[in-house]
Amino acid sequence: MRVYGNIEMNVGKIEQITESVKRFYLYPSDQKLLPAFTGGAHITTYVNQGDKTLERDYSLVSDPTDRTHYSISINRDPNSRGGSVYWHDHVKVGDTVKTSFPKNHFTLGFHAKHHVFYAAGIGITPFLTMMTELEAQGKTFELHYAARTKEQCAFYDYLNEKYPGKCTFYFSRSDEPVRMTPETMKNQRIGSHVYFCGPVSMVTEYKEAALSYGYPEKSVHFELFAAAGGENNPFLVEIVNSNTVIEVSPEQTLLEALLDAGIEAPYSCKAGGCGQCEVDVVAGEVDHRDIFFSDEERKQKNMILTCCSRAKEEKLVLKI
Amino acid sequence: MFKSTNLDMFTFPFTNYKNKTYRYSNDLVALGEDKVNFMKITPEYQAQIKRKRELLEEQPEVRYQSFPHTMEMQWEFVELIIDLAVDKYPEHFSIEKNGDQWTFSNHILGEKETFIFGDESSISLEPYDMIGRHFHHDYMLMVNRDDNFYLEVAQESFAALFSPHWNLGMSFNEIHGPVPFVSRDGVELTDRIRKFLLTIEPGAPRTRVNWNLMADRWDVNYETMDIWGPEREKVTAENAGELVHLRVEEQWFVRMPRSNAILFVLDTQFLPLEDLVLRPEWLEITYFNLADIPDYMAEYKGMAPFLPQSVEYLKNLIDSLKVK
Repeated sequence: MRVYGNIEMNVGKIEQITESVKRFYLYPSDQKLLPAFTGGAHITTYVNQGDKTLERDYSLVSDPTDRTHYSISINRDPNSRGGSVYWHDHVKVGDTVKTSFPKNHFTLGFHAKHHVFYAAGIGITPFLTMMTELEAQGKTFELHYAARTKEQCAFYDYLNEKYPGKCTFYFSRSDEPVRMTPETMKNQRIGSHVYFCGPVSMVTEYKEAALSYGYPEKSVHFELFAAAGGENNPFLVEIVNSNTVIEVSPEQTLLEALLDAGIEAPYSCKAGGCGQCEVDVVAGEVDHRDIFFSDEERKQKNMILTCCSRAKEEKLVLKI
Repeated sequence: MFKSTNLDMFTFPFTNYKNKTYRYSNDLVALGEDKVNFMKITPEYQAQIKRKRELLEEQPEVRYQSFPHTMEMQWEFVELIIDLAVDKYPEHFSIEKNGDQWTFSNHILGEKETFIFGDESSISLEPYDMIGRHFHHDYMLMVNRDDNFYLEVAQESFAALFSPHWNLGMSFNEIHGPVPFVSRDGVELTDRIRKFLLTIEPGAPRTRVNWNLMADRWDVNYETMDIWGPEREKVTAENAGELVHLRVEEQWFVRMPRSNAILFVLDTQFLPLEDLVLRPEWLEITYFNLADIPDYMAEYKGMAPFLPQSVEYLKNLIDSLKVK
């Protein structure tokens, strides 16, 4: 059984799922069994682009107990940082890529009586493995899934066939447009857990709605594609315990600047959603751009998520 | 009581504290690839296994506990343990897999375990308990639910104020409630370490070394305090060298991908204080550290009744070596 490092994979098959979504099947080069994983898990992929390595996280969409291969589904998004475009346009069958072990920051609630999933677009991916798990355990769930059209709705046929009666689709650009709304959360029984995956605006809207309807915080789960945007100011960071001062340019995140300077800063999702890059702030005001911490938590303690948040003014003093 | 006889395999705990004496800190470090495999067969292997199995027979409920929903997690553990053992010591352990029909052989003890992988009805013990009895470590499975870790399976024979019976189901914060977990600069560490543990991912295990002193015991838990509690009083500056043992726990933290749990592995080793003369540099560092242990730490670690005698013993030993 593997316990250490990354895994070298061969791209064994590529399927066009919709006009903009491709599914990549990855097989371990050493042909040894891969680790099984849990519903909602993702892998970090490392693809060489010239002398740069593109590091991107994608949800696993293969069966969690199938240890012969992993697969991921990627939406080609020309407005993103370039990872999805590279995967779509340059990764071919037979190529070698590296991946991490499966990691999971979006797990099923252990105590949930019923699971309700809300997906926007390619946000469907983590729910595929969650539903596989719940089905195998005989637990109840339902899916609400918004896409522009039926044709652009990845896994539409698969979901309808596998989970009849459990999926509701909302097509915003069809002849009779239907919008997915948070209102459907109001009708769930006590003990239900809700899960959101999609763009920041969608996750924020649904999270706030769920809390306002009275869902306990532990019953609300979410995963983001990318961190919220905003003007990227340059600023200075002083690290008190290593006596260094680092410049953060507008093109960099604070985390990138720290890593470039050789500081072993913790991180994982790089999207302000997992909370793993939290660092203590000694001085300076923080422009919080994550949705991980509640306003209450921000008041209680002075910290920053380095992957997306920045300094409000010229300087921050941190302790790492 | 056993002691480490191959000092090259003994993990001396204080090497990192040459200039600073011991205090609690978040001291989990990343592991290099060559250090990931925690299997270690020392000259004491057979003695340890014999005693571990005796303890498991004598107090099965105290020493082994699990929740019924952990069976799949237990099999993931079985596979990991067997693979690591066979990988590092192919001369001592082997595995034959015929589909799901597995036969694990322990050539040191001349034993075989045959079972259907994934089918707990094919063995008399639970899978975790069965395979754990072939190795001297203590094994705790801390399952990640929400933002904490909960003890859901544990097999233990070298307790330091801990037992599966007592601690099953507790969160990381509850288990560490009694620890005076404060860093040198006064930071409360329990919650900080909980957060750190959340960042341990599959494929990147971590390690740390913990230590304690024990008076003529290898194992202290709440259930047997009436026996070992009074025994701590019999230590004097004259007999401390023989009775008091430096207890070292080498710990590994391995995130299990299917269980989404952290497997917490403890390798416990003992060295009587008198054996420190075999490594004079260890003797001095140990004295230096023990002489500086704050009362709250000595109290929590259970060494308060015999720490002063142990320190005096070490001081006398160092002085006598200087005279020569």
